[in-house]
Amino acid sequence: MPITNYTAKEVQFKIVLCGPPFSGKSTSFRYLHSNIEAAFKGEVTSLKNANTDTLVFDFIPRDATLLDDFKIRFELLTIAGEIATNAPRKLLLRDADGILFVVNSSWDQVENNVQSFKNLQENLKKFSVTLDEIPIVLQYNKRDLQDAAPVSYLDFVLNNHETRIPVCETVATTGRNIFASLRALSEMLIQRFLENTPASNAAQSDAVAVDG
Amino acid sequence: MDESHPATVPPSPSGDQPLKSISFGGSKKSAASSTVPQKKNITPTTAPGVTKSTRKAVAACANIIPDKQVIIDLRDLLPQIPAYLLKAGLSADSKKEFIFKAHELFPTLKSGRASASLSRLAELTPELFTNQHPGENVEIQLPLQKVVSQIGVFPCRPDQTEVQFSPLDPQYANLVIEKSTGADIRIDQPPAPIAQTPGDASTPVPENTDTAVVEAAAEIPSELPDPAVNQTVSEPTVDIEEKIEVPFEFPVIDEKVSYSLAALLPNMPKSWLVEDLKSIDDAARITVPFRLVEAQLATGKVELPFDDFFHAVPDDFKKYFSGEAEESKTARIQIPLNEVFQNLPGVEPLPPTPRPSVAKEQEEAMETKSVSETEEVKPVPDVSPEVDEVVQPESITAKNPDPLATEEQKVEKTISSSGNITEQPLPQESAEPIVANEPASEQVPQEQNAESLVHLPEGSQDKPFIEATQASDPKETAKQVEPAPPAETSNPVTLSTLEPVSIQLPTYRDPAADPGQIAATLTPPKVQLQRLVPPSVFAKDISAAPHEEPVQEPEPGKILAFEGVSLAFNPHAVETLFMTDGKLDPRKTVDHISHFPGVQGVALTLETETITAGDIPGNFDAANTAKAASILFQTLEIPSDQPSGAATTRNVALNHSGFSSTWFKQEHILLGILHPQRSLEEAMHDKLVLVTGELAQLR
Repeated sequence: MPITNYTAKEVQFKIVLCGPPFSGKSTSFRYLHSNIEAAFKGEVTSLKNANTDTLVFDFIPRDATLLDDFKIRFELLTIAGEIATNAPRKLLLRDADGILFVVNSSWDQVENNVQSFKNLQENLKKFSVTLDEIPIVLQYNKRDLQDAAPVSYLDFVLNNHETRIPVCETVATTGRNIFASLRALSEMLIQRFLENTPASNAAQSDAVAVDG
Repeated sequence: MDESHPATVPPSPSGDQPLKSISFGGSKKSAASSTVPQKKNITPTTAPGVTKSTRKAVAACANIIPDKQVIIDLRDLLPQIPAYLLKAGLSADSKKEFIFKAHELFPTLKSGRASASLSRLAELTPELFTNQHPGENVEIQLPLQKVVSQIGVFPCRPDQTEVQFSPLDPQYANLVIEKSTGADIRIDQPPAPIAQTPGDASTPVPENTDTAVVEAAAEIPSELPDPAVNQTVSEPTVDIEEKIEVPFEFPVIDEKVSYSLAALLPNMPKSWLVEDLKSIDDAARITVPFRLVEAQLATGKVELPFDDFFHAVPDDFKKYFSGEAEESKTARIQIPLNEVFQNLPGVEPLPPTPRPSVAKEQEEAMETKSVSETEEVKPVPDVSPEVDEVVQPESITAKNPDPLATEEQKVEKTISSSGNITEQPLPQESAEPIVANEPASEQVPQEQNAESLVHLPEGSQDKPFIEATQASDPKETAKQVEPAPPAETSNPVTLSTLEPVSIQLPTYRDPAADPGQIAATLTPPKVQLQRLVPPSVFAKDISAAPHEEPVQEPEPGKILAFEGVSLAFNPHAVETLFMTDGKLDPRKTVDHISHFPGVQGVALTLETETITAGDIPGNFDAANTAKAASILFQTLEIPSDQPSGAATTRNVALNHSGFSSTWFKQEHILLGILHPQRSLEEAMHDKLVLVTGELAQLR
C-alpha cells in the first residue's frame, strides 16, 4: 500500500527492481537515475553490509503532482551484485508497491530467470501477496545480445500467469525502453491506487505514516 | 467530487483544477503535446515500448501446444551419454537424429531448460544403445536454443485488451502517463470518446461455435486497434482456452516479413556482391513472403536462394548484387534467427533505440565523471525554494558555508525585517546539471509554497535551534550561522516574534550586511527558531519521526544517545558476562572489548550516555555515526544471521570518512566497534555479537 503523507502532501510508492544476478538491475537503476532531471531526483544511497554480501539500498524519489498539490514519489530500490542468501531479497520486497523484474535474455540464463522468478513468487507469498495482486512489469533485458532468446519463449517460461504481465524489451546499457518499463509500472501503480484506495483508507494510511 | 467513486486523494482545498500535470523532469512543452487520450490507455500493454503478445502467440494461448517435431542431432548429445551405454563403433561423426514431440519437451521447457531422460533417448533410438537399462533419472540436456527455434511459437497469455476499471471520477479519468524525453509523466485532457455501438465493432463476435471462434481468432488484425477507441464497445471476450479445439491449424495467410539488409550482409556469399556495401542502415530491408521462412523454422535454419533474395532487394540496392556467377545460383543466404524472430508477422520490428534528447550530454558527463552513483550528491527535489514575497530593504542574508554540508543543506537564509526567515538553496557550484530543462521551482505551485510555511505560535516552548539576541556591538550584527544540522529546506521557518532581530552566530559573518541598518531595528528579545530534522533519504521512517526536536548541547565528555533508544539502562544489574557472577560494569566491559584483537575503539551507546574506550580519533564523530547506524537499523530492519539467545543481534558496517566501524544492535544497546581494517575478523564478529547480546540484558 503506498503511503499517503498528508504532512508532506505526497503519495509514495516503493518500486523494487529485482531479477537474477547479472540481469541488468543496477544498470537499469543507474540509467533511470542518470536520466531523470536533477531537480526531480534524490541521491543514490548505497548501504553495504560487509558481513554478508553486498547490500545496496538505492532509491530515487521522483516527484510529480497527482491531484491538487499532492505529489507522487517513487522509491526505486534494488540489490546490486550477487546475493548469497535470500534474506536481503525478501527484505527488499517488504511493502513493495510494484516490481520491475529484470530478465536476462541470454539463452544460458533462461533457467536462472525462471529460478529467480520462482524465488520472487515465494518471497511475495511470505508477505501474502501473489503476482496477480501486485503491479509488476517484466523487463526483458539484454535484447541486443546475439543469442537473446525470443520473447515468445521468455513469455512462455515467465509470463504464464492468469493475467499477462506487461513486458518491455530493454537494453539497459543504451537505455532502450527502460523508461517505458518504468512508465508502464507507474501507470499500474497510480491506477491501482486511484481504484482501490478509498478516502477512508487513504486517511488511515496517512495516520500510520505520520504517527509511526 | 463524485460520490459514487471512492475518492482516494483528498480534494483540493480550493476545489479548482484538481488534476494537474505529472512530470518527471520533462519540459512543459513536451508535456503539453501528449496525445494519449482516454482512460483505457492507462492499460500498460498499450503504452509505447511495451511488447504485445504476437498474434499467433495469443491465438495459441493457454494450453495449446504446437504439435511439432523437434529434431536433435546425436552429436549434440553424445558427450552427455555414458559411453558404456552406447554400442561399440559409434563415433562422434555418426549422423543420427533424435525426434521428439514438442509437447513432451514442454514440461522441462517451462523451467527454462530442455532435457530428456536417457531412457527416452534409448527408446527413440534403440539401435544406438546397449541392452543395459540407462535409468529414468539420468537427464540429458538438449540444446535449448535449437529446441526453441524449432518449436517457434509458444503459447502465452494474451494481452489485457481491456482493464476492468471501476467507474472513476471524471477528474481521474484522464490520467495518462507518458515519457517524452525519457522521464515524463503527464496528464492531459481526453478527447471526446468515439462512440460506437456494438454493431459497429470491427471484429464481429460470432456465435459460440468452435469453428467460429477460431475464425475470429484468425481475423485478429496484426495491428490491434487502439482499445481506447472502443471504449464504449463491449469488447468480445474470446475464451480460447475453453472454446478452441486442440489441435488446430493456423489459417494460411499470405503475410510478408521484412528483414534488415544489414543483418543479412555478414552471411551473404561473396559471389553475390558486385561491390562492397560500406554503409547501410537498418532502413534498408528486404520483404519476402512469410511462407518462405515459416517452412524452414522447424529446422532451426532459415535460408533464402538468390532469386528470392534479389527480388526482395530494394531497387536502390540491386546494383550491388549480382547472381551471374554459377556458384551464386546454388548458394543460399542464411537469415539469422534473431532477425527472424524479431520480425515475425504480427510483431512490430523493434524501433531503433530512442535516444533521449539529454542522453548525449549525460553520457559525456558520465564519461568524464565516471563516478559511482553512490558517491554522487544530487540535489533533492524536495528543495522548493521559498521566496519571501515582501523582502524589506533591511533584510539581511547569511549564507551557510559549511563545507561539510551537502547540496541540500547549503541554503541561503534570508531574514526580512518583518522577522520572516526564508531559506533558498545556494547556487550549486559543483553539481553538474544533467538536464538543462526548466528549473524545479517552476513545477511547484506558489500556493503550495505558501501553505508549507511553518508558523510558530508566539511563546512557543520549543527549544531554539538558533538563538538570537541583540548584538552588543552594531558592527557585530552580521549574521553568523551555527554549524548545525541543516534545516529542512522545504519547510521554511517563521520566527515566533515579528520583531526584527540580529542573530548571534559563532563563526561566520556576512561582509555584505550593513551593521548600521540592522542595528537601527534591533530589539532585545530572544527569538527562538525551530530546529528541523534534516531531510533524510529514508522518507518512510522519517515521516514517522518527529519533525521537531529540541536541541540539547552535549555536555563535555558525554555524547547524546541516539534517537530510538528508550529503554533504561540499569548499571547495577547482575549479569554473567564472560562467565562471571559479579556485577557487570559496562565501562569495564567496553574497556575490555577495546583490547580485543583488531579493535581500535569502542563506543557503547545507551539511553543516557555513550561510553567510549580505546583509541578513538578526535575527528571520528561517534554520536552521529551511532545515529546513522540507528537509522539504518530502523530503516532496513536488517535481519540477523547471528542469533543470540532469544533475542537477535543485528549488525551493520559503515565505512566513511576514512573510518571503518561495525555496529551491533540488540534492543536498547548499540555497540560500535572502530577497526582499522575494512571489516572485522570473522571470529571477532561472532564474539561481539555475543557480547552485545549479553549487554542487552543489562536492564
